[in-house]
Amino acid sequence: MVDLRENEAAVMKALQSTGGNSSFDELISISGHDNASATRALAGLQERELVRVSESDQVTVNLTGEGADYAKRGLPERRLVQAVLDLGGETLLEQALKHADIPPSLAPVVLGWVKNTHWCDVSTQFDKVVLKAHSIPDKSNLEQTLDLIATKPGYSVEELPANLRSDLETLRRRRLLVSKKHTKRYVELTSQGWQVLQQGITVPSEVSELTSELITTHRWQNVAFRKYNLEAPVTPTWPGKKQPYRQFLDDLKAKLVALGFEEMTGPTVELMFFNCDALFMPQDHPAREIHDLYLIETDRLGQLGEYERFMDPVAKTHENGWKTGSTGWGYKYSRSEALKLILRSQGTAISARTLVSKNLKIPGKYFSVVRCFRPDPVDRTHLTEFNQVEGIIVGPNLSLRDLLGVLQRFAVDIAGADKVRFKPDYFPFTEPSVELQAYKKGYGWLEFGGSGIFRPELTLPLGITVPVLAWGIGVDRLFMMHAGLDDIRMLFAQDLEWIRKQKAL
Amino acid sequence: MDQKTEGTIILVSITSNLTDLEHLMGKQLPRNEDQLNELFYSIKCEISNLAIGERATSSLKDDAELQIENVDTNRPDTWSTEGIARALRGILEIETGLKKYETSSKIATTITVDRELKNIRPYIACVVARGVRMSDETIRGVIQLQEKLDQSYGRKRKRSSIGFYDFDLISPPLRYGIADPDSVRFIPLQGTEPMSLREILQEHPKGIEYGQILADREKLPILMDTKNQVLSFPPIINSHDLGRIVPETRNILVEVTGTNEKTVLNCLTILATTLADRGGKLHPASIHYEYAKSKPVMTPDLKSRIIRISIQHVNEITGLKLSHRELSSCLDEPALTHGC
Repeated sequence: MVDLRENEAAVMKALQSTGGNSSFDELISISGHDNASATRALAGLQERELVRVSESDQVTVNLTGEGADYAKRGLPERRLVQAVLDLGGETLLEQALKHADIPPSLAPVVLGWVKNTHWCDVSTQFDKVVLKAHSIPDKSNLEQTLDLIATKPGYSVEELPANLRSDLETLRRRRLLVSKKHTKRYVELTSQGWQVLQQGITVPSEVSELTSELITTHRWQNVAFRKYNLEAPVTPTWPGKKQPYRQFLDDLKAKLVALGFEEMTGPTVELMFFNCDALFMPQDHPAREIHDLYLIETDRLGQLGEYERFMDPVAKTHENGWKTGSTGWGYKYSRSEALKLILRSQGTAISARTLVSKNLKIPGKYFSVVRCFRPDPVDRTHLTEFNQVEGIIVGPNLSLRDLLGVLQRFAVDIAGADKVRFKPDYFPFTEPSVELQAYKKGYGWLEFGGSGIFRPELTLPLGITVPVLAWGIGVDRLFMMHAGLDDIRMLFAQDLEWIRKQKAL
Repeated sequence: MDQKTEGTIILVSITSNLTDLEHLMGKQLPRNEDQLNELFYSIKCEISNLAIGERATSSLKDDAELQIENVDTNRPDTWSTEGIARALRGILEIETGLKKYETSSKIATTITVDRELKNIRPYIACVVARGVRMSDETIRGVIQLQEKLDQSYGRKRKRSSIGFYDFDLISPPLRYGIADPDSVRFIPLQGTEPMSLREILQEHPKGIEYGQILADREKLPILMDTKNQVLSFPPIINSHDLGRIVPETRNILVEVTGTNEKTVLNCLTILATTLADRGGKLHPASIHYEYAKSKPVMTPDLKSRIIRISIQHVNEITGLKLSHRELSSCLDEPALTHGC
């Protein structure tokens, strides 16, 4: 007879019932013990060489958002060929892209794929790319693979026909799928284990918990205590916590408040007036074009309401400089352009709102941590939305020297940089303008953000006659450095594994 | 296209040859990448094919191609090798202050502007640069500048667009007039057969690309000489016969048309000074606007503008204590171009 613990005995018997061979998951359900208890039992049994545990890896794949979109609408190269055929079999690249609803930014990539697959003849006439296609191509292996994976979440690679495995790698490189490795454990009875089962198992009564009753009655002197194996693996527990990026932003806000900054807020759906015009960006500025802003799909214009009185001075400043000493941009200002509704594309919109606010205090220090939106092809360094930390300091007798001090403080105290340097720069809202670069060991010199003193063309029409120091920093990049991320998409990924494993503080 | 917008920031990226840049500057530049970038920072440029902070020890070859990213959209005069050389000469105190460019007292041509253009594309500016000597490479540089100005400063040719011509093939005076879509035919650049304006808009790649600017117009802008030779169909395409610049071309006519007078004049100033840096003698054009009662306008306009600023204000903003002498020496450094 061999002495085993209760959970060990249960696992041995469960194993016996499966014929001596079982997966760990199966074992848990038969033995009636939970994951942690079964794991401890196996550790003990393994030590006594009664069982053997082996592991094997299984890979499953899931489509990314982009992959799912292509599975539904077709790969962009197929849509491009279809567009060429729809347009008569020969057409300019730009027109085919437009017809196929493929953003021009994807053009080089898509062009590469149609060349690769020989689905289109690509030539250059004048300096334009011309595409020719003859027939609808057969479904490629790549597309078949994409279709298969789209059939269910967590598609197991083993299920995939062997001739399609290499296409899996192509899909992964195109970031259309993500793969995940699961480790599966298998347990097997050893010959020694079988012997023990034949000899019979006893479970001596052991005490696992020292109670007050055991102490007062002195029974503790006579009972057998269960020994703990402190090295046995246990299932991890995940305490509740904030999403790590949320936590980071909250900490950042707390630090800024501690430095005496007040938080400023503003609407996500913003008027072009505050997002651009009030910042002295001319109405035909390239960054105001449709591919750089999200326009709200409506014929209705927004309203300035109580801020109506600022439009006239802003308009005149754009047209001829008004009283600012500037010559302005020299064009006819459009009121309806200013009242268009957009998704805020830069945090400085909030600074402009703060400057016209009744509650503005002079001197005053303000900050905001805001979500901004810009149409950008999504890749490892770009998202269509991003966060900015915006700050302004309003007050008499402020100078560039003060600004450099604030920036240094921000980079070193808040962002944890080792040292900083400044580079002359240009921004439409500020003069002089400075780029902040920060050095962090292991990362080298990084561009942190832009700053400067708001131009009089910005402040005077808004009724501000004292200097305003301003800075804007892309906070996503700051967090990526903090969390050691190299892919910005992780910030909003719904990857529980990753979120769980991040430090809480 | 290598103009990219990073939010509100437009980067204009140009390619310059290090030897050519040094030739224009009349001075050797550091061969150390870090030192070179440090120098470029001071004129708000960055050499993007050299990474910041890295490879501090590597040094450049003499004829290295520099990819220069220019972040200052208010300084289109530095969007060329010539312009960068001008700015660096100031910073390095080789030549300080506003650079003086002379125009000849002899007018090269007059241009009459049709009254109907007032509501189509009202402004034109023109200069003739005589005695220019350019290689294939420097011609490419000037074409690159033209492209950058058209795309970024000229808002994809809507606000302004530029054309170059071999002046020796042209018979002045010129007329900036209007034409029906089917009445005029000429061979456009990159073409072989004469095409009507309508055909150009419908079939020529540039017509397809920029036709939007003239959408729904029954009358189209046209620039012709006294022999009725077409120079250009602005802002779409130039003539194949007259609008090609080769290394043998000595006398170049530059014209800029557009909807914003300031932009049109600034573009011409930038091109005129660029060609002057390549040895050209500038001869002005006299523009007669039929729709305006004012006197003819002489272009290029190389007059400077006086801006008054108090020393106290500068010291307040910068937090420095500059004397009158120190301040004026700072202002002398970045040799600004006229009119910009």
